[in-house]
Order: sequence, then C-alpha cells, then structure tokens
Amino acid sequence: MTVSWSGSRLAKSLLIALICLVFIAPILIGLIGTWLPALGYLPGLNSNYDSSRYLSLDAMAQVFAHPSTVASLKLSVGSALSATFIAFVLSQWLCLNLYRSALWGVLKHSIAPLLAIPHLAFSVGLVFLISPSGWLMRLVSPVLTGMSIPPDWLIVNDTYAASLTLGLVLKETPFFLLMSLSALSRFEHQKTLQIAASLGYSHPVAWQKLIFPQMYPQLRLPMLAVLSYSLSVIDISLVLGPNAPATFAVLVNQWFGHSDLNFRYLGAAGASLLLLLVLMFILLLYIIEVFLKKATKSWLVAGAKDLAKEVVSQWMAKVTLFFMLLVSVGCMAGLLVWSFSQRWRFPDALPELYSLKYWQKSGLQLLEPLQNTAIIGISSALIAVLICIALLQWQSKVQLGSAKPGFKKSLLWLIYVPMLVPQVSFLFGVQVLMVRLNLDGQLLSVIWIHLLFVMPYAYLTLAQVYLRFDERYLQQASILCQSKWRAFIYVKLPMLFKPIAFSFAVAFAVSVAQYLPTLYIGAGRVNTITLESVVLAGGSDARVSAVFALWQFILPLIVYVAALVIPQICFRNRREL
Amino acid sequence: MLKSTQKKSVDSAALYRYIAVALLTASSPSWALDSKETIAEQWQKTLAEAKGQTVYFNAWGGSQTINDYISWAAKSVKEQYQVTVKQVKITDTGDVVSRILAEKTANRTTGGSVDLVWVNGENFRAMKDNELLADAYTQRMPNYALVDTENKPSTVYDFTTPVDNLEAPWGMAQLVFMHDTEKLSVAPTDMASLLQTLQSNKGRFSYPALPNFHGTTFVKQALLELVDDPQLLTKPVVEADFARISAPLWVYLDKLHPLMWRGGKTFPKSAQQMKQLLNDSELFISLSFNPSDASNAIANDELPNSVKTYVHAKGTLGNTHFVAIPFNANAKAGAEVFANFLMSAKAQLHKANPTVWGDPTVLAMDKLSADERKAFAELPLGVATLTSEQLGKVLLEPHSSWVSALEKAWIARYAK
Repeated sequence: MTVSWSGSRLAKSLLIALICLVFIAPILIGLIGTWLPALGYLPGLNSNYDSSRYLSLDAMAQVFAHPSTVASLKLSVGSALSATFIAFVLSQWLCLNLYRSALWGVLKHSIAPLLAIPHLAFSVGLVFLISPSGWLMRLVSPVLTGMSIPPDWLIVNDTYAASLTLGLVLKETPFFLLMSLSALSRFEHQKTLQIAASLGYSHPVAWQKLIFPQMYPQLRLPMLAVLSYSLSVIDISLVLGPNAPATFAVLVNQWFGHSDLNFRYLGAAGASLLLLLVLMFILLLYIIEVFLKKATKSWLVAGAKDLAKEVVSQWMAKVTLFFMLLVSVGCMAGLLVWSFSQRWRFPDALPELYSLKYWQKSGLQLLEPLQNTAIIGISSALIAVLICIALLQWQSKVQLGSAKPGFKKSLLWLIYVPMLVPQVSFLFGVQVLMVRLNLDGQLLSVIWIHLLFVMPYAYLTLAQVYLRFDERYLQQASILCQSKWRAFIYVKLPMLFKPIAFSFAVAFAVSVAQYLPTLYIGAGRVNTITLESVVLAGGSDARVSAVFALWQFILPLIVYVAALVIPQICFRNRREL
Repeated sequence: MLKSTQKKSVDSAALYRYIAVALLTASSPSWALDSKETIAEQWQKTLAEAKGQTVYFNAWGGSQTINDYISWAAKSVKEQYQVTVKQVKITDTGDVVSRILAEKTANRTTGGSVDLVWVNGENFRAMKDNELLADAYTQRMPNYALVDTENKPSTVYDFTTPVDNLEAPWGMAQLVFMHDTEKLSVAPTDMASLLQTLQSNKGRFSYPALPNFHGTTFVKQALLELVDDPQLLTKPVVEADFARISAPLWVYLDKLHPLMWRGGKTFPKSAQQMKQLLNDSELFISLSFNPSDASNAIANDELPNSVKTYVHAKGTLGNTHFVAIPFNANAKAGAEVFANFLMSAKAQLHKANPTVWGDPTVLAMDKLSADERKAFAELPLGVATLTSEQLGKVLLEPHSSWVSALEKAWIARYAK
C-alpha cells in the first residue's frame, strides 16, 4: 500500500528518457538529415561532387529561383491560414449558438463519425459531389440545367485553392469542436453561465467574455496543429488543390520525387522552408494573441451589454451544422453509389449498371493492407494511450501536490512537437536514419513513426477529462481495496474507460490516415489501405477509388463505434458511467 | 557528428565507385566469351538461387488493369520458379529512385528495399548517371534473345540513353488519342486541326500538367510537329538555341490553352484522370500511351463504346518501358527470373491481349515459334483499337535533355 507506483523517481526518469528517445530523437535526426542536403550536402549523388556547394545556401536560392515557388507559397499560406481561421471561428460560433439549443446533442454525437472520415476519402467524395460532372450536377441535369454535357466550370482544383480550403474547413471544424468540448469540460462552464445570466449577461456575451477566454488556452495548440497540417498536407491537396502551380508541400514532394536527382537539394531546402513558415506563424499567432489581449481588455471587463441577435444567429448556426452534416453524408453517399456502379455517365442521376465486382476484387486484394493498417493502428494507438495514462497519472499527482512538478511543462510540449513540425520537413532525414539502422520496411518501425503522430492526438483528447477526475474516488477506493493499484484498475480506469476508449479511437483514426510516414519508413513494403487509396486516387477509375476510399473510412468507423458501444456493454451495471 | 558522417559517406562513395569499376572491367570479358551453353548454365544457377526469394517489384500502381496483370505474372513465377513477387504500388517512380538514393547515402550496398523497378526515360537516365543500377544483366537472360532489338530501336536506346543491358524491355508504348465519337465525330489529324476542333468545342481537351509523364509527352509531340527541323531534337539541347527552336511550340500552346478544359488554368492530374473525364463528357479527347487503352476501358465499362482511338497523320511518339534491378537489390536472382518471365512469349502474349492489358509486345515475331507467332496473330483487336498500319509511323523520342529543358520552360510560362 505504501509503494507509490508512479511517483518513484526511477519510473519518472524512465518515462522522460523514453519520451525523448521515442519522440524527439527521430524528429531531431530527421530534421538534421533534411537540413544537410538543404545546405548542399547529399553524398549519395554522383553527379554532384562539387564541394563548393557544401554548407551553402545555393539550394535555398534555387528554391526561390524556381518559377512556381512564390505563387505556390501564396496558395499554401492563403489556404492554410484561411482554412484554420474559418474552421476555428466556425467551431466557436457553433458552440456559442448551439450550446443551449436542442441541437447540442446532435453536435456532440456527430463529431465522432465526422472525425472518422479520413481526409483523403472525404476529399475524393467531395470531388464526386461538387465537380461540374459530379453528383449534384447529375441530380439536376438535364431537367433543371438543360445540360447534357457537364459545364466547363473551374470548381475543384481551382486556381485560388478555394476548394482545397473548403475541404480543409469541413474536415477541421469537427476537430476544433471536439477540442472545444474537451476544453469546456475543464471548468464549471454551466455555473459560470448561470452566474453570468443572473448578472444580466446575455448568453452570447457571457460566452464571449467569460467562457471563450477560459477555453482558449486549450485551443491554442490544436489551432497550431491544424495550421501546420494545412500548410504541409499533400494527399488532399493533390485531390482538391490547384496544380499549375500546386501548393508548396506538393511542389516540395514533387522535387523529392523528380527524375533529376539534383532536385533533392531543392526538395530538402523547400522542406526546411516549410518548417520556417510554421515557426513564423507560431510566432505571429503569439503576437496577435498578445495584441488581442490588450485590445480587448476593456471590453472584456465592461460588463453586460447585449449586442448579438441571438435568435437569428442560433438559426443560422443550426443551418450551418445541418449543411456540414449534409455535405459529409453526401460525400460518403456519393462514394457508396460509385462503389457499386458499373457504368455511370453524365447526366444520369444514378448508375446505368450496378456491380459488386469492385468490392469483391478489393476484398482479396486488400487483405494484407487492411491487416497491416489494423495492426499498425491498434498497436500505435494502444501504446500512445498507455503512455498518455502514465503521463496523466503523474500530472494528476502533481496537481494534487503529491509529486514534484519536475519539468512537466516542457515535457508536454515535446509530445506536441510531431504535430507541429510539418511531416515533409523531416521525413526524408528519418528515412535515411531508418535505412542506416536497417529498420526501414519493417512493421515495427512504421508503428514507431505512427506513434509519433498519434500520441499528441491521444493526449489532446484524453488530458482534460483525465485531469478533471475527482481523486477522492480513488482515495476512497484505495482505503477500501487496500491497494493503490487495485483501486486504480477497478475504480479509476473503469470510470474513465469511455474517454480512454474515445482517445484510442481518435488515435487509431490518425494512424489510419498517415500517408507520407508510411510511405517513407515502410519503404513501400508495409502496405496500408491509405497507400493503396492514394495510388488509386490519382483519379483513374472512379469505382475503384470509391471502394478504396470507403475501406479507408470503414476501419476508423468500426473503432469509433466500438469505442462508444464497448464501454456501454462492459459497464451495463454501472449506469452512471 | 557532421564531420564524421561526411567523411564516412565520401569514403564509401569512393569505395563504391571503385567496386563498380572493378566489376565492370572484371566481368566484361566473360560476357564476350558467353556461348549459348554458358548462358544456359549460368541461367540454371540463377534459377536455383532465385528459388524461395521474395522480389519486391516497385511499379506504378494507378491502374487496376495493370495491377491485375502483375498479379497474374507473380502467380505464374510462383508456380513455375518458386519465386514470390510482391508489387509495391507507387505513385511516382521518382520516389523509388529517391529511396534507392537514400539507401546509397546510408551506405547500404546490399539488402536494398527495391529488387526490381518499372522505369524508363528520365528516371532510367538518373539511375544510370548516379550508378543506382545493378551491373549489366539482360544479356544473361534467355528470353532477351527474343526481343526485337533490330526493328525496335527504343529497346536499346531509352529516350536516346543507351540501355547497355541495364534494364529489360517490358512493353512498347505509342502515344494515341481517344475521342468520343458521339460528341465529336471527326478526329483531329494534327496539332493545327486540334486547335481548330477546340474552337468549336471549347474546353473539351487538356493534358496533364508537367512534369507529369503524359503531359511532357504531349508537349514533345507538339514540338516535333511544329518545329521546322525535327532532326535538331535528336541532339542534346543547346541552351543558346532552345528559345529559337522551341518558339513555335509556345506560340501554339499560348493559343491552345485558352481553348482547353478550365481555360488551361488547371490541368488534369494524370492521363488516367483524363479517361474518367472522357467518360464524364468533361473531355471529348483524351490521350494514352497504350494503343489498346480505349478498348480495354470499354470492355470494363470505364468508357462508352462510342470512344475510338486515333493518331496524328505524321506519326506519334513511341518508346519502350523497362524493368531494372537496383545496385543493392536484395533478391537479384529472383528479380532476373521475374524480368525474364515478363519477356517470355507467354507473358508478352497475355499482356498484349486487349481484354487483359493490351500493351504491345517487345518481341520479334520471327524469333518466336510458329505456334507463338500464330497466337500473337490471332490476338483480338479491341473495338476501339487501330491496326498496326493505322497506328502509322512511330516518332522517336527527342534527346532526353529536351525533357528537363521543356519542363523548365513550361513551368516558367504556365505554372507560376
């Protein structure tokens, strides 16, 4: 009973060492491995033994001399900033306006399935839906439009990256909503709202002045993660983004894959530039934050004054939520119809011929990729959740004052590093590292690299709920069970089983969607459903793309459903959980 | 740390070059002495060594039809030679070249992750220039003797780069166009009439943005048709003359782009996507490197049967695609056995069938047995496929240096 199970110094140092080794070392080495060629050092290339290029900024100069670079950077920055900003504002606006409405439950329950839709599957579905020859046009043609051939409208792959931005907004808003709910659970927001109401604050004003400022610290990091992701995303950008020029991450990836191997220098320099951009935006956000804090200070404390027209905006929020759900359902439905079609031409609203052929064929072909995806996803998510629990348990002890803080804050930032550093900016280096250690092309290495990306999301989804756990339950249980361990396993874990399972599901979905890390580290040998989908999403056969995109959606969906259902079945006898 | 890795890698590169040179000088006399007997003996050894090996075949995986063919071939070598072949489906051959480069950078001279790669043109040249390929081997393969090296010059010069037995010919390609006769009854016959056709069918043609392979091919085809003296293109590009020689191309493209799909502001991702767009009637004209593509697509309902194939009157670009073994391949013997199988009459016949893939053979008919010749002659011609007479003249690829020059100029004009 007296043995403290996580407070021991040894365990703590081990945990820290493990996190550094597992999470930080590959990224650091990966970054260096990318910076070296960016500075002109890439010994594998025969054609370029010009030592005068070593440690020079030639490659970076070449990046800026490339005709596509500036336009491409503009597209990337524009789409990433606007997608992040719109998705963030939209999520906050939805929270504010739907909080007291009947749709709050709908909102809460729609987050999980929306998150389960992988980005790639969603973008393929969106193209099927909104392109000029897409399903929407087919539904209204030729009856309403009089068109028997699709119009030549620049809707997807548009030169302003608007369709890419739309895709990102639709996919990132649910993530912000999830993070907002978790931020809300951290403090007594209901009580705050009640008190505010009794003081004459209208609901929107109370939310803006009292709730949002308390939520924001928990949303800062997710916002940066979304920004970094949007800046460096490749698979969605290939499907929805412009291509003359493409977004910068796609351009960098093209350089890494260019038939002229000297483009590797440009690739490495471009990848490093992408990292610089992310760092710059982090700094920018910090400055904006400081500025806004100062600027809004007097407004925040100015008391109650009703400004917002609550009814109208509540109604609009409902419409928006409905629209978001409709588009997502439409995307998935479009994929479903395509996957069962044999012949489907414009302007038929539905296929002329149906077939099960593509599903049947895919079943055989995808046996191994699906198995790999499941093994990698389950292992990385499980390890991530276990590490998170260990970390959080330690953190909750710190909160209670029964353990010393140590370097808790900095440690937590380390977990988030993989989420903030653009993947292209270090994967080339990690690849070389893995090859050197003879670890490439192995399932275990892929699991390891997935763990890097999965861990921050597992932590983000679990932390708030876990830390809010009322430790008095545990204290009571420890006294009754005579063992801290047993109390932990029989009382705390079951009580937190639901959020833990959900965090596992989120982590699993993140793992399933990983494209570049799987490609680079798996050496193509560790085949997953996402690799197969990206290869076929090149657009050849709509029927095959649809089947593969749906397979990519099915695995995370199963796990999300399981995460909701299993806790209910396991703890039927404890209804209050 | 930086210093030590730098030193190590440079040393290893020097060592590697030494080994390469030693291998080259040591083994060339033995090829010269190769009699039929020793080829057969050597091959028996290779077969024995290959037994039980697993070959990771890195091949573009964007077409279900081709993937199915590769599965068929893999099954065949498994049964016949106990060699396991796994297709690593890739989106871009450049990624594979990158990976091999990363392995070379990390000093991995054996046990590489790639055993065989589907390659040609620029990627082959890059691999050859950077010594990423295994030493010459196709002369050791029994079925290589069946290849029509005499009448198919592109089997020995890959985009003008000498093949030097470093890659095994797999299939022939010729640029063809496809048009939906229901929407566009008369097909263009050259670049000028394509422009005219689009004037009354605005937006119904496009080509993938460069550096996409098919996009580059279309631009090269246009250049070949528009240039005053096509002979100039067989020589390496001279920077001083590039602007002058290519000037008619840019004049043409400047006129063509506004008439293209989405006004030439965005481009299809690939020729495969163009096929889908042809089916959706977004495009009326698409292009392919496989003369049987349309027939094949019609057979599996990817395209309507109103689609027909056509070529330009003065001929279209043709080339050969190959498979190559990287310098550090883990299962070299197995890769050779598989590459040899791909060149067999059986595999080539199956591949040439338009209901399977429809990829033209690299073999010489007069080197085959009478039965095999007959089987090739009896292959069905797909509903939308042209006969070899109709396919007309095959234009040879310009010197490979033109690719990067054209790509650079194209990007500077249209992707900024």
